[in-house]
Amino acid sequence: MGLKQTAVNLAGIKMKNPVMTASGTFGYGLEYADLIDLDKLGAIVTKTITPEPRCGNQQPRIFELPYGLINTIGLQNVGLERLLSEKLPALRKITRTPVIASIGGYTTADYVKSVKGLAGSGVAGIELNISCPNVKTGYKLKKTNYLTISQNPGKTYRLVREVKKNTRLPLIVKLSPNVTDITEIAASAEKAGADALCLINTFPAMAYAGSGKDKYSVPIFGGLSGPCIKPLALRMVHQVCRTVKIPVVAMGGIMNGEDARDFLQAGAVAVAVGTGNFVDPGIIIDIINALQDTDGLPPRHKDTKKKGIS
Amino acid sequence: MTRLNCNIISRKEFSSRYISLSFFAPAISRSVMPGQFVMVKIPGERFFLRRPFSVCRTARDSFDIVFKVVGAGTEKLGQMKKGDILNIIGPLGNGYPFMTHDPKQGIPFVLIAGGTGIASLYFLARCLKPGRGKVSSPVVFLGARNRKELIFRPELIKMGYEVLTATDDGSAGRKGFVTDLFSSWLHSPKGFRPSVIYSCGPRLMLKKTAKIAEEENVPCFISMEEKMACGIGVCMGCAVKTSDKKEEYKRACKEGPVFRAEEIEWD
Repeated sequence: MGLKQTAVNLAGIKMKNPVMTASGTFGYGLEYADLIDLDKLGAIVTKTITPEPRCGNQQPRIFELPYGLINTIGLQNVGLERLLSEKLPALRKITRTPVIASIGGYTTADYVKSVKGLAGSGVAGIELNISCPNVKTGYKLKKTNYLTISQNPGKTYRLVREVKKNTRLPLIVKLSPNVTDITEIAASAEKAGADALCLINTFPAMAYAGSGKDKYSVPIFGGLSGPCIKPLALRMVHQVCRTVKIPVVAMGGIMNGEDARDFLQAGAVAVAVGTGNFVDPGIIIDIINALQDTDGLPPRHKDTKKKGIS
Repeated sequence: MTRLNCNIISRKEFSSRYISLSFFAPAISRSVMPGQFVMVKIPGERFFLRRPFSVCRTARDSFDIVFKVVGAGTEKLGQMKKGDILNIIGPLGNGYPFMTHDPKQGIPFVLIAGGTGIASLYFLARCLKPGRGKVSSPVVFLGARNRKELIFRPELIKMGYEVLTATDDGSAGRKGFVTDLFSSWLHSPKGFRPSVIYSCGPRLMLKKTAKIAEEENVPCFISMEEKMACGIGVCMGCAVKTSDKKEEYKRACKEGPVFRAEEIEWD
């Protein structure tokens, strides 16, 4: 039995298979070059960058759980300039796999500056990260609580529309799961001109990171990822795929071929592997092989007539 | 850096809590340098992330790690037997730069280790070879909780190092911190200003070592430990705060784990 056809077209980005990396879990692509064949990947999504470099949050930054990980890195990144002058040229030298640059920022101007900078850089698309739970880049709700742009449909609409005006590259908007109704945000992004959506970012979570008798002295607030969020992500992907017409990239605890297949079945055009890359850099290749070896890509069930069990 | 399934070829118990494992892995054993580490996948779904371990010794085709059983992960690792296979990525990070004594002056180096910090320093000690300085042999300051946890002492003595020990409970050597032992030795008749200090151990110990090194104006290299998710420079979890204005947080796994002591912002 030969290998099955797995190529997909994600809003104009031609991918040889539907498996890509999730931003923030694959560095700038270069770090994994010694361990896996980057040419095998459907696409590489680079670490979210901001116009200026960011040093990130203080320690502790990560907390391990049996089925997942809480992180609060705080978008430590090299900045737009070094991405353009150093990271992207180096990555292009070693692989022809499409590269999607993930961008973040404090203001609309930050996002616009980044997309303008990325024009002509050779990237195949742009991921608009408006859902990082670990930086105060969104807007203030009351005195202390910061929300991300993607937690408000109006703000999402306005930002996506403004960014879209300033780039011809396919724009993939990354959504937060921490909302009352994710389909509402998804619809806003689509209406504003997003070419695709990717979901979900991490869930806001907390753990006590101290040890021994100091256990409760260090609360760590961060984003929860890993296999424990997969069922939550799957449901949201299912809902969003039935709301919007633009393609959806699904992520959330994908650790093997079966996980990837579940999300494709739910209606996603592509899937992204995130925390799994930390656990085992080979996972992403195993997932690609699993999709090629068995029955090819599953049929996408977009019709809403089939009733689920609730 | 490679990722491979490694066969455990031997297991040794120093005490009930200190265990060393030997892995067959020529690709790692022939390239790893002292101070570098490996990421080990501990079997079982409970242990989600890989764990970093310093390499403490190599042979032609194998390398060893030594660890203390402190939690569920190391407990599980400690139960592994000869013949078991673990998936390992390595070698990772930057090791200790080799700066031995100036042959003209003959002033030796010193190693300061706390607890399992001896792992990477023992590997370094094997590679540097003590030689015979004009003043003295190089000295290893070895600190641990108690007598049973002072590992590699006989091996170091056999190699020609002078080994001075400190334990928290006073069951061997001087009672107290190994840095206090080092500090009083420095000002004793036997003491000398070393050519270079290499150190690995708990954060507080490293901080004190760095302070002494600064006061004495001795170059000092320390190996920092931070929790890490990936070990290969991607997750940014193992950030170490440094005085570098351009890049405030460096990665223990990539720019480290060995840093120049004066680089670190201890706060």
